[in-house]
Amino acid sequence: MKKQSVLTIAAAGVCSMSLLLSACGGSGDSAGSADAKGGSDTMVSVFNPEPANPLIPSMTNEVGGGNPIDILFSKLVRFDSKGKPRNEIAKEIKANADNTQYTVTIKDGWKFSDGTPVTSQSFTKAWSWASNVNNKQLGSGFFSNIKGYGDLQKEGVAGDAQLAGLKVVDDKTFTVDLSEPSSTFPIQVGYTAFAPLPESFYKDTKAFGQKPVTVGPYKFKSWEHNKALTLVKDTNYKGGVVVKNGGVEFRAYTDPTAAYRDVQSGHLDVLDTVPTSARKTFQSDSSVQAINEPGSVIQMFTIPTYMKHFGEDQEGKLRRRAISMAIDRDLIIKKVLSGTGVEVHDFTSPAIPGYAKNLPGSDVLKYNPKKAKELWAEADKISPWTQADTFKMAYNADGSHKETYDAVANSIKNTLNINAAGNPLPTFNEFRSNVQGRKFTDSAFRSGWQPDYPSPESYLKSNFDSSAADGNGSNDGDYKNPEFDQLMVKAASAKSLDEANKIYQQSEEILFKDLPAVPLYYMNSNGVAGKDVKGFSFTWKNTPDYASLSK
Amino acid sequence: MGKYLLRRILQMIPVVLGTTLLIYALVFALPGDPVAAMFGDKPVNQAVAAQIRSEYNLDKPFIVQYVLFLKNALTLNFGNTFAGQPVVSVIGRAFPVTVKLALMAFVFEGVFGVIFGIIGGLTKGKWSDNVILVLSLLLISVPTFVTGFILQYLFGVKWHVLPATAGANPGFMDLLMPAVVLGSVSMASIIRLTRTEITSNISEDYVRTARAKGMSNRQVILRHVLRNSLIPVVTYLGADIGGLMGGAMITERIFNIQGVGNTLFQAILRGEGTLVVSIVTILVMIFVICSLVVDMLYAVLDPRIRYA
Amino acid sequence: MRSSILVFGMREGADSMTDMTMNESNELNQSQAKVFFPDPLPGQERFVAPIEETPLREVDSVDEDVPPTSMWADAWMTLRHNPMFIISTILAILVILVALFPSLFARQDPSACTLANSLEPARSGHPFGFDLQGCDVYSRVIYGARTSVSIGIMTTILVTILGGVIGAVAGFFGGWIDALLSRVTDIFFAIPMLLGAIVLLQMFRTSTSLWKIIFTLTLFGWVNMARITRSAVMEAKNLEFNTASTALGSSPIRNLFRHIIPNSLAPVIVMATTSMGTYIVSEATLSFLGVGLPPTVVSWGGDISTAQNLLTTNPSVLFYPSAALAITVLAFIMMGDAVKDALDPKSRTA
Repeated sequence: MKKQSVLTIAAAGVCSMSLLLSACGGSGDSAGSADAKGGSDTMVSVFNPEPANPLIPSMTNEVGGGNPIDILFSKLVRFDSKGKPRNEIAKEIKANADNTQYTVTIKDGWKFSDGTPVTSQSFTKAWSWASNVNNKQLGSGFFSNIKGYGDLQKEGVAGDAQLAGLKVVDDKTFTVDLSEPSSTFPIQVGYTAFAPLPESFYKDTKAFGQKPVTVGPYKFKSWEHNKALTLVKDTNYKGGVVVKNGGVEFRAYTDPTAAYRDVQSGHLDVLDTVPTSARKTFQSDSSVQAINEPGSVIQMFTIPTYMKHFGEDQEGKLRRRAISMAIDRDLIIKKVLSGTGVEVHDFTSPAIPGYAKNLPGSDVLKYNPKKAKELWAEADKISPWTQADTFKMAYNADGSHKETYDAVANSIKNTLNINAAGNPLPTFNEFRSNVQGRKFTDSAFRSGWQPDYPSPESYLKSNFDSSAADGNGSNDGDYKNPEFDQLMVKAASAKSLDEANKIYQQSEEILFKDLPAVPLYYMNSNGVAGKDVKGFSFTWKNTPDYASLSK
Repeated sequence: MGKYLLRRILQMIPVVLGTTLLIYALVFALPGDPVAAMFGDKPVNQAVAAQIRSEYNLDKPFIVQYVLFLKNALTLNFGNTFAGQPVVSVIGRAFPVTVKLALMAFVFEGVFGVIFGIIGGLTKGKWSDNVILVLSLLLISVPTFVTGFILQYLFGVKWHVLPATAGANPGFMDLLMPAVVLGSVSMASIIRLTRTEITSNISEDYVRTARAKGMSNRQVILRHVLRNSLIPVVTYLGADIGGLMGGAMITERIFNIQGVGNTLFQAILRGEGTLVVSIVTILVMIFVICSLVVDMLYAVLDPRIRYA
Repeated sequence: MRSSILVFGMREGADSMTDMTMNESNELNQSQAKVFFPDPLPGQERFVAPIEETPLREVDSVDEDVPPTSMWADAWMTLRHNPMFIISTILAILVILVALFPSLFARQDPSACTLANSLEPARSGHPFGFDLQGCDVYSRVIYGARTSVSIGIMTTILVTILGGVIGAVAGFFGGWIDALLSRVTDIFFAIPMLLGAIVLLQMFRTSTSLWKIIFTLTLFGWVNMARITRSAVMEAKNLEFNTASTALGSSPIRNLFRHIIPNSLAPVIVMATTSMGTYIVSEATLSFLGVGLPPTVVSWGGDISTAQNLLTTNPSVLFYPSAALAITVLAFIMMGDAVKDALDPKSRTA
């Protein structure tokens, strides 16, 4: 168990990127042919929330900063539009026998936008800097599996301390020693936080955060706060992304409805989300082109194991299943979400290899009012649910979840004949504090998941493994099942991806019985673009493929 | 008079102190941990969180935080936002556009509110009065988001007459629609107040006197009736100008204006104490100045009101 | 004599007369009177009833045959015959009845919602159709009245009392009392309601009591009322009837309550009635932000804000609660107008 826990933290850390990763896959498989000069040179304008942090890769953990940073900084690997990793700056990432040490060699000729070359140190120094607690990086957890991370997290550590696990062999080669074996390390290094940084970064990190020196398909042009962040095509780019426009202007919006109006009236090219007010109309709106296709995000609500009547005992299991079967997901998707979601069949998503639609036990995710009532009545025999009890589901009111949770509550209420209601909390701050402080002892709470890499592991381990419980990861409901944990270990050491996926499917069968969280629906990738925009498509990460846009 | 003015300006000091203390206390009492929320949906790195807390003094007791804020504020150092930008520059970006918007809305609601109010008051009980009653009723009961949406859709999307959103550096035409939407909310109150005062003043004896003196109707209305009717309207308008600046959140969202209302709203949601306090402090100074101006106007409108 | 009446009622608006003492203006008006009332020319004589038919009294003498009536009684006399007052009262009573006994008007449970009915149009038994969650819009409008009307009326009353008293005291006494109260008002103006409401209401998160909303709205709503009352009192306290009253031995406090406040009521009533709708909508804003009432409580404001997203596709869902709100506000505005007119003898409609 111990052996595994660190790995899980690393995986969980990696998952902090979940909201922001967009693959920079251009035309998909045309790897290597750096045809950056093709296409038009027009600027495209896209919707984007104002970045919440300076433009430093390891500081960024939300879409506002993640979207631009992802196309500003190339990493060792990139993901194509299907989410498949491809070498970008890396020439080779080679593991030793037990996956505890990796040797990374990088390609020649890569240069930062200030002309300095990309070397081994561009990576090792950047990773060490981000791991250093004094630098207060929100993404420092990404490096937690690299040896020496713990030392850099101690107070009073020297400012230029380096991760002990990183050794520079020469300008183009370095080795990484991991604390725990990891087969996913070569994928992890494709995340934004692992981007290389130039020497000039360390001289003035503050200035860099406002005006970064980059190494990617785009370079930084200007950032007018709360107005626009403009990137232009970097003609020196050597990687595999095909850039079809002259640059991308990330316009700052606070409300997607306003952006929708701008797309309609031709003042904005791309909006990568659909405001609630346009859900019913965006696909038939003749003034825009719309996309609505299955994505990789799953929406659930967690019923914490510390919630009254819902513990990890027989009563809890019965009630969880009753609740799940009391929700008419089909109808909610149709009526409330207007088809912007897909009916849920498991705990991962259809966009992921290893997804299976009809796993044994997945019936529990189907609306079955009769069975739900029976299960609920059975649970009532163990310990009665009184008229004074209400089944509550918490969400943050500053998101847009009210309609969904009102509908879920009504469905539960009508089926089980109990009180059920949404439980809005005014701010995300408060919502998260309550989740982290384990204060939802009488309420379920919203949980959604966007994966970091296309494997069921990214969904299952971070959310339901014991080692991610108790504040060590994203298992906020503190679900613990040794049987499930063992399957996670088994899958990680599986010889092939298919074999691993089979084991993950087995683990899901356990989840169907225990229902640590109740899946609601798979959220679609959807958005609109102006009529004259070409190449509007979504990556597997639910973000627009910025490089392929043109007019 | 000079002494009075000086006293009023000096009163600003306790007001600013009181406001900052109160707001700081309120932000401090906000439920939730802003630093933990920075990590999003994901587990918090406690070591990093502790460092961030100490950077923003969030680990210190309330009163120490407040004193530190005051100390820094005295040297005009308002610190940085969580996003690493100086509070001063955030405010410097938000206020100009909001001031523009608020002034436009102010002029709109003031001019049209008073005009409709006069018409309503003069034609009391007639159809024009009733039309204006219905108009003000609509303004009260139709929510801002509806007015905003309808105008935005018609003028911005359908007819392409005005830009649908204000854009990055909004000019007069860009802000015209938002200003109308923003101003229309308070316009109802101004219409009703003006109308009421007009109806009660129109039957005053001095009106008869003025008419008897042979003044034209227009002169009677403008020079006597209106002047005597304006005190509550001026009061309302004076109080409203601050509201137009700080409370334009919905309008700013609809038209994507990155102004004070939205900045303040976001800062409250994020629990950013210094930013909230700084914005509110500026707002309270605007309020104090506005009420001073309003009080001065009383003396102009009604010379019997005097200040020592 | 006629001219003296003119002067008595006159306010300082006529700027040419601004600095005149009462004496001066008296003379002026008497001289004017001669100009305006010359001897009648032939054909211009008027009919004057014989003194026996109309008992003529001395000018300004009080008719002692009838018992003296108070200002309020006078107002009531006028109101009883004012059609606007009657209509608005009937409307208001109807609204209050609906609020008190919603089950008399609607059979359906407003929170019995079946998603299958989502956005279905009106049909028999469901005259207004269904909302997004498949709830009956008609019964939600009826049941929502209780929350919304109670919040609207109670907040209006509390705001008027609190703001009125503070404003009246500040305006009447002036000096440091005014300075103190006015600056407190300024501070309250500047506190963002969202911030105050989140902090205050988190203490009563689970309570479904309307009072938490009413008190919060009052706490942030009284400031406007205080400003308006203050201005009206400042204006009224300089009017001549105070001097007259003081000369008759009345104390300042008595003046304040007997003369100044009744004479400052007009703008206060207008503010109160026009703000009522705002309070009803504010409740929705608070609930929408997750600090107000739990989502299970039915209210117009809540329904208006949830129907917001349906504006393009199903405006009728938005229309009905908004119309209910408008009718309520209309009733109270009209009633306020009538009361205000009745209290002000000069603006009584002929």
